[in-house]
Amino acid sequence: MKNNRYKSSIYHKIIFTISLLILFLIGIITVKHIDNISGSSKSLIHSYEVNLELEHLYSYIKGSENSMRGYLISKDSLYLKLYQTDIKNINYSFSSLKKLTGNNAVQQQNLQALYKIINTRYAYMDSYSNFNNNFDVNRNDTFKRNFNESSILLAEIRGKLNEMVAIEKSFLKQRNSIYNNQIYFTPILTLGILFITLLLTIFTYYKTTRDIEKVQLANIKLNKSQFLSYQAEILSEFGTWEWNLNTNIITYSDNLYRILGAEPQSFEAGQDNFMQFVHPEDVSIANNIFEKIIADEDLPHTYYRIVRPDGTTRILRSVGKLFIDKLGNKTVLGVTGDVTDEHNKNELLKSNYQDLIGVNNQLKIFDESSKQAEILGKYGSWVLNYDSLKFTYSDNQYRLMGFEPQSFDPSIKNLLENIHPEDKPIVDKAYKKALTSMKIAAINYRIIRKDGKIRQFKTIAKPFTDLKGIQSMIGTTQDVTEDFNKSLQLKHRNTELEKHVKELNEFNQVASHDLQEPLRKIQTFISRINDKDKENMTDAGKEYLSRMEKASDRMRVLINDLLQYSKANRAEKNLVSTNLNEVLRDSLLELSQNIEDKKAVVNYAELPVINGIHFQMQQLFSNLLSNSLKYSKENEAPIIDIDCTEITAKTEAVLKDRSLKKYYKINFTDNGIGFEQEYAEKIFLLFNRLHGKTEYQGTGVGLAICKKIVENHKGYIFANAQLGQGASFTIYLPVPVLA
Amino acid sequence: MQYDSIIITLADDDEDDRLFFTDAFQELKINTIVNTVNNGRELLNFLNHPETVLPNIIFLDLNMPILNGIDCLKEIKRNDKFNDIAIAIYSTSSSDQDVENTFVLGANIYIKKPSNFNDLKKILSDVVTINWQYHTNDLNKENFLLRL
Repeated sequence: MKNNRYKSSIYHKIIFTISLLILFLIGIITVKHIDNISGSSKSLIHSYEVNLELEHLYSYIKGSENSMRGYLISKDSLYLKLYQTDIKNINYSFSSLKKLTGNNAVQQQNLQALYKIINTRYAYMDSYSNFNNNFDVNRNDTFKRNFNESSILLAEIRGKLNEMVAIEKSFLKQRNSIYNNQIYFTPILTLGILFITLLLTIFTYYKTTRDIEKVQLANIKLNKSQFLSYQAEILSEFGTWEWNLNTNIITYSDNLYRILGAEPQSFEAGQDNFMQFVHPEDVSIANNIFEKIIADEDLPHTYYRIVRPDGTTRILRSVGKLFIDKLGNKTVLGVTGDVTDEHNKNELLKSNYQDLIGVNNQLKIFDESSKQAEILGKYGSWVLNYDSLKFTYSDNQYRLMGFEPQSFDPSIKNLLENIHPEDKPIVDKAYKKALTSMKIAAINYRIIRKDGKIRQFKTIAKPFTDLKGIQSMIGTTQDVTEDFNKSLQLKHRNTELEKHVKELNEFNQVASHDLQEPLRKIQTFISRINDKDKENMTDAGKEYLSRMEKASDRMRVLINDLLQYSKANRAEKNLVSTNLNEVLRDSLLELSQNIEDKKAVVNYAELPVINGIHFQMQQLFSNLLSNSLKYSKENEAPIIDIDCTEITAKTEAVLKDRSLKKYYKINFTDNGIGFEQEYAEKIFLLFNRLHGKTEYQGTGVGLAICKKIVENHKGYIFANAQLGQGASFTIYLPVPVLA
Repeated sequence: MQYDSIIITLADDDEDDRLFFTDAFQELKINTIVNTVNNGRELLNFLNHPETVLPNIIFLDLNMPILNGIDCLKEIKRNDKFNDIAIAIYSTSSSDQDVENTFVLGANIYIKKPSNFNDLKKILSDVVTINWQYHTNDLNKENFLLRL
């Protein structure tokens, strides 16, 4: 392709040279012809001039003749003057003829001869004029002879002139023929040469057209490859650049601008503009690039980072080679590629490899630890390969069955041999199910170890498909004999406990019903005696009856309290949102008669909503309130203050809880008889009383119930008192956690 | 037998309670005919006897041998013949469970046996003089358990 182009250009040059030479030749020939033609026409004009001058000469001679004749006839001197003028004219004409025929020897000779004749003629003429005015022509014979002589001379002049004209004519004729010749040949020659030139031009045009076609084809191919390389640049994230070392001009391809994160051709390519993109840490590398190109006219692979205008850092690789074109221009052509992704991939691969090593290490550690765990946890693992139906046991699996590790090839057959005869169906069924449905439920079975001991095993398994696509079942079997025995014991104990609870409930039933039954009857009979036979009794009898009545009442209270206490014990764990303001209202209503009787004042603040059991909270409040009413000072109306604050567990030392748990702290403070602080804890114990039965009624159950209820609500209750200074009961109840 | 008297039957295995019961009605100035049976089975036999004039009110103890009050109540309620008889549960217990059960089974009122004879008289008087029509229409868990 290239060679062709160069050949044709030489070809063109030759044709052009030839064409030029021909044109030059044509020019020379044409000039020469034109010169010839102009020469011919000059000589023609010359001949005409000579002829004309000869005619003039003759007419002047004739004129002078006439003037002379006039003079001779009239003797008028005017004719003489005319004659003089003619003579002058003849002389002028002669001199001009001399000039005109200067290059013609024949004509010069003729002119010489003519001159002589004319001179001779005018010698006669002058002699006339020298006569005086009275000269008589007719009488003078000399004159007559002379005159005759003159006429002959005139004829001679005429003859001489004609001769000269004839010579000029022959000249003219000769020249004309040359001229005609030239006129004839010149167009033919010119046409011929033009024709040749035209042919050459046509040929050249044809050649040129073909070359242009070739060049166009080459151009299209070039365009295509340029287009492809343009796309290749974008796709492969590289750009090209040229550095003309002669002109020191650098140009970037569009994609190089894009790689730099700029719009194509948005700035002038050059060192300064380029350096603005270079990562600050790589400035020296980039500077080195420019130095290297200038110094070595070559750029080896160089890596450096740039920072795009949008702030992203990219890694670039540049390479360049010197290229010298036909014109001798030195250009370093280079490619710069964005290798960030490649770099990242490599980094990723590297880190993946590191990860793999790490995972491998972990796996080794895990493998070792799982071996130890198997021994400690008394379990073994196994794999059932679905393709080969072969089992693989871990070392400990063998040990669990009483064998040395890897001492036999495990199979379902030898597994079943070791299983307790009663449990064989369990294992067999599980195995078949595992084969058909790839599922296995946890199974429990007994195994007879090699040493004859029966052990309880538990097996779980899951299907597993490894990376190669091999399906298997991975299972774990644990020796659960100890657990099994323990759970058996536990079950046994549980049933015992349930029995106890049931008995206790039955006892409660007895307490509530069967104990109440006879008591009620005793009380009823007492009331019958009171109504019917009291009048007939002695005073002592009446006294005894009254004490009986009191004792039976007390027994009733005791039984009721005990029932309530056991009820509080069997607390429902269903805590629901309970508004303590409502609880307090119900309690106050319950005790309204009592409060009224004692003329008590109850002050209370706004109470919170807690999670609790309404009736239990009501019992708690009622117990505390009735306690305060009961142990009030005889001569002082009871005042009970109820307040509530929200606190955090760690701020209350009594709670012995350092957490941030929130509690409502509710205080019941009274102005009653109080008690000594040393009893503050004792009073919450069942059947514990601080006072004699006769002074203050009570069973010693009330506060125990309170404590039970508060504990049911995950709270605390404390008492604070001083003898004679009133008592204060503090309840802590957890603040409900908002859902 | 007089037709303008209120006929009352008590089923209770406790002899003392039967005594208190009949004594109380004797002392009350209400025209009543009271008879007692020892357990649920006896009560059903008595009710099903062709010659029996059906009582207006049955007082039913819960804790009885042979056939207890609950089962007996079920039997009575199963028979349409006894629809018009008001059933008053008369028990020592006032456990929530017993109150709930008997209410659901269709008893009309629940009386806890008092431990004072005067209280007993008052309760029985109240029960007998209740407008049953009115009470039954307006019956709910709150007024089911009779409180003094």
